[in-house]
Amino acid sequence: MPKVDPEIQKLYDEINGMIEKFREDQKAKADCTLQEKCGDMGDIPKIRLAPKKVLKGHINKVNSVHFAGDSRHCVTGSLDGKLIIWDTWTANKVQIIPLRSAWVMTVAFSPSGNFVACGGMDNQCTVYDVNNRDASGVAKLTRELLGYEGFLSSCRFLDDTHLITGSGDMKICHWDLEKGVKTMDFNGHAGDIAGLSLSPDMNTYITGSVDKTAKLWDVREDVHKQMFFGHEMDVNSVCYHPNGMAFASASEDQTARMYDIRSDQQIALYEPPQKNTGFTSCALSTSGRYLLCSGIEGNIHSFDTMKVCHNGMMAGHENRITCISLSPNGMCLASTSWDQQVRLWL
Amino acid sequence: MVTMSTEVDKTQATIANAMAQKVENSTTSLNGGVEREDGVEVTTCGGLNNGSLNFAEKVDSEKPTVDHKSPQHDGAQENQKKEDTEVTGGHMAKETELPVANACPAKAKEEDSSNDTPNEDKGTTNCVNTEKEQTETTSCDTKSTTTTTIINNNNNNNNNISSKLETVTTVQITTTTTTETATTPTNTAANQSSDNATDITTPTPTITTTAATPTTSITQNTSPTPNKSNCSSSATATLKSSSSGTSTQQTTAQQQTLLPSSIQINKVNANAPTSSSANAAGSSSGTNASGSHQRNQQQQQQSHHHQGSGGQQPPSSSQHSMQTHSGNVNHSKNKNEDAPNILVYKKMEAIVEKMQAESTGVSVRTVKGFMTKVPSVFTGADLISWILKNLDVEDVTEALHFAHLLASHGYIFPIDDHQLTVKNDGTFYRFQTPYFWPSNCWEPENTDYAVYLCKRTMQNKTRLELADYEAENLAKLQKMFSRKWEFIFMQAESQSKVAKKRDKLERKVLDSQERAFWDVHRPMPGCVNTTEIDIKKAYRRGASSHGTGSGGASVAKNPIELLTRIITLRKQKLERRTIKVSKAAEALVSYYEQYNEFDYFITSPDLPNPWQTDSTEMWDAEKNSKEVSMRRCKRWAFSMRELLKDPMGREQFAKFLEKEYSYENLLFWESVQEMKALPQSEIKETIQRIWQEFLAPDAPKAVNVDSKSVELAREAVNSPNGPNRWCFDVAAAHVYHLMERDSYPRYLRSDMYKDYINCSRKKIKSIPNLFGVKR
Repeated sequence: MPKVDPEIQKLYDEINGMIEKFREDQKAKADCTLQEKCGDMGDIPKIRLAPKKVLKGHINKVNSVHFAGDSRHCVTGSLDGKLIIWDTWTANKVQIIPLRSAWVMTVAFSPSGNFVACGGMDNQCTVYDVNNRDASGVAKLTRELLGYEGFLSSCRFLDDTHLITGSGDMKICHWDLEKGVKTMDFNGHAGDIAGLSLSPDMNTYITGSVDKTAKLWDVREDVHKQMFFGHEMDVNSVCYHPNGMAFASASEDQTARMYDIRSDQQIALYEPPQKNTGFTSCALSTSGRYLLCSGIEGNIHSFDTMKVCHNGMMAGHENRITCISLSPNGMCLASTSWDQQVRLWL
Repeated sequence: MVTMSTEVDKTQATIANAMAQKVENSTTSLNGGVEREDGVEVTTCGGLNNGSLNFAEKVDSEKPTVDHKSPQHDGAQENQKKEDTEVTGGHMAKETELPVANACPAKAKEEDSSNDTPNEDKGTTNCVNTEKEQTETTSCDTKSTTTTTIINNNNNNNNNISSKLETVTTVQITTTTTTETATTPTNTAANQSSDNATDITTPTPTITTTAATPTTSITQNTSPTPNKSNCSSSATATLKSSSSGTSTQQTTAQQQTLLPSSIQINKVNANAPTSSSANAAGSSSGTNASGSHQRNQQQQQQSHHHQGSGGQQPPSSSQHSMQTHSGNVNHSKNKNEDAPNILVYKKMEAIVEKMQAESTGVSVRTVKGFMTKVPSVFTGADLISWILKNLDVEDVTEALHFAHLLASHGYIFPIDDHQLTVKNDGTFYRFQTPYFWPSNCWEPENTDYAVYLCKRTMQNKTRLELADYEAENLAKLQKMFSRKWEFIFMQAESQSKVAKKRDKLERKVLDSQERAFWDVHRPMPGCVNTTEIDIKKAYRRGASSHGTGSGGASVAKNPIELLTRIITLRKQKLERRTIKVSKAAEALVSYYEQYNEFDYFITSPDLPNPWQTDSTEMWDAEKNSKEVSMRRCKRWAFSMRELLKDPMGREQFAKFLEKEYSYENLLFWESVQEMKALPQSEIKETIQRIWQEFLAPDAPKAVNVDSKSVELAREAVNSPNGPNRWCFDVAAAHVYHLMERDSYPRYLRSDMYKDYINCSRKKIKSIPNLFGVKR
């Protein structure tokens, strides 16, 4: 290790001093815990989701699922190289989109339901138009967004023409799909970006990263507005609270946490009763009271966010659950797993 | 992987490096006798190079495999010196090669000490002499396979890497076999007391038949290859000598080549006298060449039998191999320990060992049926009752789950089913041999799988018939490896010939264990592959130094700049006013209280859940706005956002505003929102339109905005860079605020809203709260 430049050392010291200050500041603001505040609230019933349907069709690990804005259709992406758009009500496939690369890691449905985007180890993001078909009858490929140096780990549509992606090269990219150009591109984290969640008003978003932090961003800016510490391992997934003031995060360190944006700190820590699983994905119910986290052991855990307690566990998958997605109306939970299944929980 | 175009170049570069290293290594190994490279693996690298690996499971391991060669070799030659980067090379990689790695430190140790162990030296020489015939025949076999590869290679000779590669293959196969032959005598020596000797020696003579190719062709083919004159010539030397092995001189030469490795192995056995056979198998599994695969397995099986019949103490042997295992991988140990799987494996293995204990374990027996004998099996019911009795397990369901987990990792397996699970009945199960345990970090190659499947097709037993999915896989693999299919076929053929020589019962056991091994690593569709880790994470663990992910990312070009940036950001953080947690909690609580009625998990919805009742009423109701439930109307009162989100609410609100003559506010705000989502090409035009319509001095629908906001908007619209889509944000925010403060509360108080609510109340009778959580 070369000798540390005194100037750099000074800066490091300054940062460390600031971190100390944050701690004090946070402590000062933490005048009570969420449990204390919510201790007198009524208990909520044990979550009554049951595995109602299995969507059959994928023949390899399924890596990602996302609901469309209509709460009825969802898209899943699997290592068998297919995107499948499902009508969750009939459990029928609406469309099968064969991909050029089988290594899909993430999928996203535009809120309008007109487009789906996917990407993965092919280091690009591909956008398909669901309503138009190409010559061979599959959904038309509208855009191939190139220029990543790492695999695509997350993407979300702001609307039909704007897309935000996070990737393994630590970058966050904003795309204008109309023109097919990158409007912004910046280093977001000190590690792979693993999860991305848009705020309910679509003006800000949260990213979770392998660097153990989560960050809050404005859709117009390329510097983060806030940064949230606490997790001890990769933050695999983040999910905005529907009130837009808080968000939940799920991590490899076997915990899920709730951070408040306005008080700029962690306000709750959720742990499964037996510490035997890391969390891959999380979702919050419409009222923000239930937190659902999928575990690598194949169960979905539910927590009472207010009283900070474990609320139930749902078994069904036989292998790691890779992703869960709650329909926008909060009624149906879709989960995808390495056991090649897509399950609907109602 | 194939499509990862950006990767390919780098990968090739790495392969080239790995190859170069490998060549060096194999050269030294010929001279120094340290060799434990697996011919098959190398050929797989060739496959990668040709871009033929698109098999799904493959990618998990292939890059690491390439990467990892280097630490391996380093480990063999000098255990201690390792570059950090290489060490971090791999969690995955290590898994790939652990069986190979197993023998390394032991060997390195041997190298150190071999000088002062002349006695053993002699002993081995004797052994080799006595087994002379055997040595010859095996070498002949190698020669034939080698030639095939070379012939294949000639087709592609213009490709530099591939030609290098094939040379390595040649050399390696040769050396592999030499080590192998060396191993045989030593093992025989070590296990003289056991019956193993006969088993081990039997297979070799049969191979003779396959050796039919003339040696000369090899010499010609190999020598022209550039750079590698050193190793290729030595390789050729070995080949030559072995092929015409009748001459004593040549045999001596051969012995010399063989000597060091045999010493080593001998020494390993000497080190571990307590668990001779298991260990010998373990160490030779280190030297494991694909050809000796069968034999190792056989030895393991032997030791396994011994365990069963009380000859050896199973814990001692496996513990020992565990120790060597962990000692061996010391350079990558930390990574290894980190892997959650390893911890789990250790626990499971402890239990499986208990199960296999002679008196207290699950009773293993040979079941005799009419005309048939089923060796070393136990029933599912036996197993479950043993678990219930011996482990802290409460009920049968839990025991079954536990047994299922053991089975899914391949520690126990049903004797005639590809699905690795356990039923609580009379179905027969068998223990997997420790050699195949997942803790050995198998990451078997597709070529191995191809050889295995190919071999299965050669045995015309019904019980060995390929399942449908296996046949499909075989076809896929054949396509993928078409170029070296001949090689695979020959390997399979020789393995199957070895197998045919075995005792019938033993063969049954072996076949089933091998099948179970592949059931774990290439599970049938619908079964879970338990041996893999998340590919996203694998990427990051530095497994791909040249790859994507942040593993090898540069810290910063300019640390000072970076740090200053961080500091400014942190300063912002300090300056930001934050609210107290109690306030934050209150916000969450109030939100919950407002919305719990709409949370499906807490309150059942007005309309039946479409998924549960098979009626799409809910979605239909959303589309046709005739009827709006009271609950929906109520939501409008929560916030203006809620009101505007609901098309019906928006419509009502618009009507109200029209009455109040302030509809333009809503229109302005909405046009701004719409504009923001428009394509860039239309933005400019739209901005002008909005400006003219709402903000310009003589606008037809002038909105009530303060002069400051208008001024800001004017500046933005007329800015030299052209207007951007956020130019009206301030004004729009102002208008929104105005509506929220003024019109919206008035709307909520208006008769219009009240009427609407009453109207909807009449239409929809309230649904009782089923769960009693509403307060």
